[in-house]
Amino acid sequence: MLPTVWRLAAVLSLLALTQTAGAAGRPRYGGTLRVEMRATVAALDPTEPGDAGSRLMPLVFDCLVQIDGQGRPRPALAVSWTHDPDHRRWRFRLRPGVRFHDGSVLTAGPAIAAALTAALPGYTVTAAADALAIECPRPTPGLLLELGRLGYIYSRSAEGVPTGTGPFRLAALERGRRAVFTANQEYWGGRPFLDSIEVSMGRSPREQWIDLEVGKADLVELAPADVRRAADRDRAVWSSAPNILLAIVFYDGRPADTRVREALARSIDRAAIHNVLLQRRGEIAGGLLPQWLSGWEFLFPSAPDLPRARQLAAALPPSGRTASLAYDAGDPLARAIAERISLNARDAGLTVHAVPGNARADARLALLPVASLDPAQALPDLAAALGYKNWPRQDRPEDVCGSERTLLEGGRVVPLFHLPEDYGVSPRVRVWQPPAIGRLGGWRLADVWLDGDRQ
Amino acid sequence: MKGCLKVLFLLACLHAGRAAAETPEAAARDLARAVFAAVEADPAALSIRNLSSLPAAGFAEVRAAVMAALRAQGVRLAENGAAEVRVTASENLRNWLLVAEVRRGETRTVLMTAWPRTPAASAPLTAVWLERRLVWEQDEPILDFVIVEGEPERRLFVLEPSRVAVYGRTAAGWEPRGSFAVAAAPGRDLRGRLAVQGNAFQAWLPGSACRGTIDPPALECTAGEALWPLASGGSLAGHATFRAGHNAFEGTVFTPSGAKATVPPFYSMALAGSPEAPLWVMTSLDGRAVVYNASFSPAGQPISGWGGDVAGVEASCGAGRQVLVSRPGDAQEPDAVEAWEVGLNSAAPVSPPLEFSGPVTALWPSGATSASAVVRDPSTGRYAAYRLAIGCGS
Repeated sequence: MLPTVWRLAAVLSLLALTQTAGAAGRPRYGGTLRVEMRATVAALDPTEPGDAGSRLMPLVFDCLVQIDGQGRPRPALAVSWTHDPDHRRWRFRLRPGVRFHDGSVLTAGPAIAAALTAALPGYTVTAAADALAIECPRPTPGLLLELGRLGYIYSRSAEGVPTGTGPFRLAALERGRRAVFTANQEYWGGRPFLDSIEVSMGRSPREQWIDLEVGKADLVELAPADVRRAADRDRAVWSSAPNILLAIVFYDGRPADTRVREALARSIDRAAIHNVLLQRRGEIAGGLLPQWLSGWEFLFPSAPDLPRARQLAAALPPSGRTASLAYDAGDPLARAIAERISLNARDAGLTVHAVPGNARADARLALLPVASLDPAQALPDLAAALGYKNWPRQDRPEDVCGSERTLLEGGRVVPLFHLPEDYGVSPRVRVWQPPAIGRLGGWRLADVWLDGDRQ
Repeated sequence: MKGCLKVLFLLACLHAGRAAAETPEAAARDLARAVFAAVEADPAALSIRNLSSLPAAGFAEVRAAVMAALRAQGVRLAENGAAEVRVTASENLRNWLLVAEVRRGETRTVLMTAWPRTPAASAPLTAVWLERRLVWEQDEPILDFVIVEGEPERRLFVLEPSRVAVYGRTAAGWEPRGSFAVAAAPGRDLRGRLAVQGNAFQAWLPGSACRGTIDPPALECTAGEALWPLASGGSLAGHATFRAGHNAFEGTVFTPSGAKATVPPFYSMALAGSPEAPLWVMTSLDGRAVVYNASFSPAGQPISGWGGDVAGVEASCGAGRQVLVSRPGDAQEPDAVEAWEVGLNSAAPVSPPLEFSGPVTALWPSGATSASAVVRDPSTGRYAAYRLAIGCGS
């Protein structure tokens, strides 16, 4: 005899018999995913990825290894690898039977070696039979992480167009407007669940939100303030790790008196901006590398020190207590943050003008992507973005930390926040092997499927 | 002063060329050596805090290891020491970190040691009406598994996308005995079946069917769309073709009597009803489960609210035949399996849900009262194989 509770459940379950379909379970094949983004992409070339292009790149191109959601290297176009005890000499065995989108077979030939050499300047890449050998200029235990983020494998057509082996083929690209990707039926990792992906570019945040609301888009970018609104409306939110550094970056030599920079840096109440303007999305930053990546960001203070800021400002001549801070004119959130920083500065006795655009400003609010899962590589990449050429790479954690401190003490950058890339997702979108958005923001849409489309 | 100060040259020498420690104890010893060098002979005021995701118990162990290592190294600890040592347990993507900030006068030194993060422990076992037992965990996907009780040892066969791995049970646990390479047609949601009989085994994968023996080690695979067995409650219900490159069965079913029927493609099936009047329950691609009578005519209304996987079992209670059902949901979400009884116009859960921390990626019958379930842990990406058993109780 069934317990009472299960008798009740039985009655309720009869109701379920009359409901319509729609519950997700095993993934289904088919359908078109409609994606919108603000940025525009003119071409899809691994040698010139750009911030927006780097998101699209994993759709079309594969790397030798792929980095999973836990940051672990997994076989991709390489099925296995070995290295010497110094991590200088690596050998990769290629996956057999893989074809480029143009039908040619992937082999360890000069084209692959050239692609990797372009991605890894200073490394020696040689190809032989089904294997690739990479010789590093120094011990490189993080080579797999580097290969997983920028070691795209491609061949070029006679016209110079790069062809990949990835899960989707680029079927159409209207420069800066729209791109269409179709499923690679022969993909070595299995055909993607989706038939195609349509990416609309140059869409404003407001347009994207409306299109998500009315069902014209499946995946749109969300501003931090929209994340809660999306959740309130039962829209799933997909996010990268907090991988975008929002920082004040001073232009070279401006303002001339470094005390202005330090006073401004010490006046900023990051917690208030984080709570109100950012709706607590992301993390307050004291360092350049996020805590989740380095593990030592807590060593860099981020709390305001208004007494010290006032002391520094008071020591300046009255004419020297001003600075201008530029922000992206098309980004309302950037404007609000710049104005808030201006108010904080006023409390310290500084006059900071928040100005749209970047003409003749002393500093700018900048979004700097953290581009590597290896702190040893991520830091020189950030340094390059800040204008420091050939910033030396360090490998030991203590040395990377020390190098980061040196960069901060240079006074060119004031870290504010590490922000994730957030996406609003329509209810019909599912993912079989999460995450669909990599830690560093790359799109992994081969495992996305649509609930409601027929197989 | 902002940030971490330069590491003392002496410490750089101590650490040069060293690999990261393997355990928290070893990391604590490395840190203690460096701290000892930094404080020299001064007594040190020590504080230890946790900024990592280590749980309280794990942090307590790390804290104890640090304290013990400092004492063993000869660091003198005092509340008002001339040196101040603040140790922070932290983490990054790959490692747990111990970060020591040592202050002596105007000098501040930052020291770091690390040890690799290990996969999270599996969820504790529970025992309710539906019981589960963790059999095996691994990084590679598990499509199916079979445990064989026999001489000279118990054996575990694990079907992966590219091999059948065989393990033998010893006092230390399952130990590798060998493996046989197989090849499936590429697929994103790969599925497979495994059957073992004495010394022989069979594996079915999309686009491939294999037969092998353990002794002598041999395996022969045939490419093509082979018929897969459809089992329920420990007996063979029929066969159907699995679509290569997809994740579902074709709709043509062959019964043991030789009859052929055509139904829409389905993910999985189970037998319900009674032996005299069996019902075929099939999860279809539109998210519903469809019930067919013995003639494969639709019987009753489709059932919604189930996941794609079902497995038939036959507990000696209730209506006699139950269907184990996974839960619908996204692949990031926790999943659950519960037992249902299905009649011509009724479908009712008869057990509380058995919760899992991640999605059930495979659910196959493995005997009259048991099933095999594979669960993917969304936090680690690892796969866990569970033996599910249905029991009768109040």
